[in-house]
Amino acid sequence: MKFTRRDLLVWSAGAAAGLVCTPVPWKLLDDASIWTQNWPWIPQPAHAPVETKDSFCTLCPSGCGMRVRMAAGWPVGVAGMRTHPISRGALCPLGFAAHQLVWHPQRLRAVQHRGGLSSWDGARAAFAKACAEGPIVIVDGYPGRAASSVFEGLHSEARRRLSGHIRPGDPSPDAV
Amino acid sequence: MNAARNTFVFGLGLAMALVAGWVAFPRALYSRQNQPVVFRHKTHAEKSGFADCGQCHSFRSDGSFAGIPSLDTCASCHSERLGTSQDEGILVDHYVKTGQEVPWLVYSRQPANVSFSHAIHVRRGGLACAACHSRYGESDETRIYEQDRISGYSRNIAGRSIWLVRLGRHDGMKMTDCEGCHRRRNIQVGCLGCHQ
Repeated sequence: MKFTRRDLLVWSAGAAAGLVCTPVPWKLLDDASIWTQNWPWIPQPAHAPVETKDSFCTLCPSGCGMRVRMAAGWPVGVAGMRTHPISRGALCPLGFAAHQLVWHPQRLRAVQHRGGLSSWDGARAAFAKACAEGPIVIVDGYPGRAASSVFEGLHSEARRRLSGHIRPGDPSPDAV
Repeated sequence: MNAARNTFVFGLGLAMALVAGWVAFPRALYSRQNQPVVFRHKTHAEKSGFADCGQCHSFRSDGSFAGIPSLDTCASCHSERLGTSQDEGILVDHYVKTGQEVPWLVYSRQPANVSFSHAIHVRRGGLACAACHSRYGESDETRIYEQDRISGYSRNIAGRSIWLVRLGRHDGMKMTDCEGCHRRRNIQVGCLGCHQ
């Protein structure tokens, strides 16, 4: 008996009908959706004992109370702090996602100067040169953030340098 | 003649797909691994007099659940061989004497975006261990760890049944299982209750 092209089509129709009566398509769909959560470039927190630390949010001037869950030294979850006198357990959406900001693709991971990679020594030298040339201006559009404290440090350092409090040859503060 | 032949070929395709889907597919989907050490709950309960799960599966001082006991808990009794079993020999020689933690394969390991608190369920909810873990604490065998090759999680998470139908009240640890139990007990939990 020869297996014809018509037989192949009929056999395929039977196989397709049988396949939807098995777990194959449904289980593969379910597993594929879970698989997409575990792509290698998605950060995975370490499997370690979770400890909780109380802190406050620095993403805006409100300073809401935060209860941060830490695993292996990394923040893995954020919740509001009910006992905080101002926020009383509330957090805004950005605050709830604060622990994910460390994984932001545009996060600065190295010293940059004028759009290019630099070193701390290079940045210090450029900063000292800028201070020597005259007053510098730092514009912070959203004061009160974590970055604002960095700007404040820069500003106070610039003022110290311009007012002559630092003599040539003094070591540069590590905070700058 | 043609109708009979078509029916036969159609049935053949149907039968082959059913066999492949119900027999071959589950075997291909799950990899099977033995635990590094065979642990027998029943033997430990009988010989050591452990009547409470919390004697080994304890809560830390901060209230968090320690889960599978660390090697120190095992070594507190098994610093040397107490019997003649091969499994105890593996524990003592390979792990206790070398100080290396036993790399247990965890049946209940959840995705990273899931936060489950034993403390809330046991201490606040008053659930007994057997309410979720059935009578595994009385068993005298160690289950084979079956890992889904695609999702990477244990078969116990999705449930033993591959048809996404629960075989019992203790089967499955997916979100629908959490929701079902909470619905039966009329306990409302928002998204952030588990996905913190």
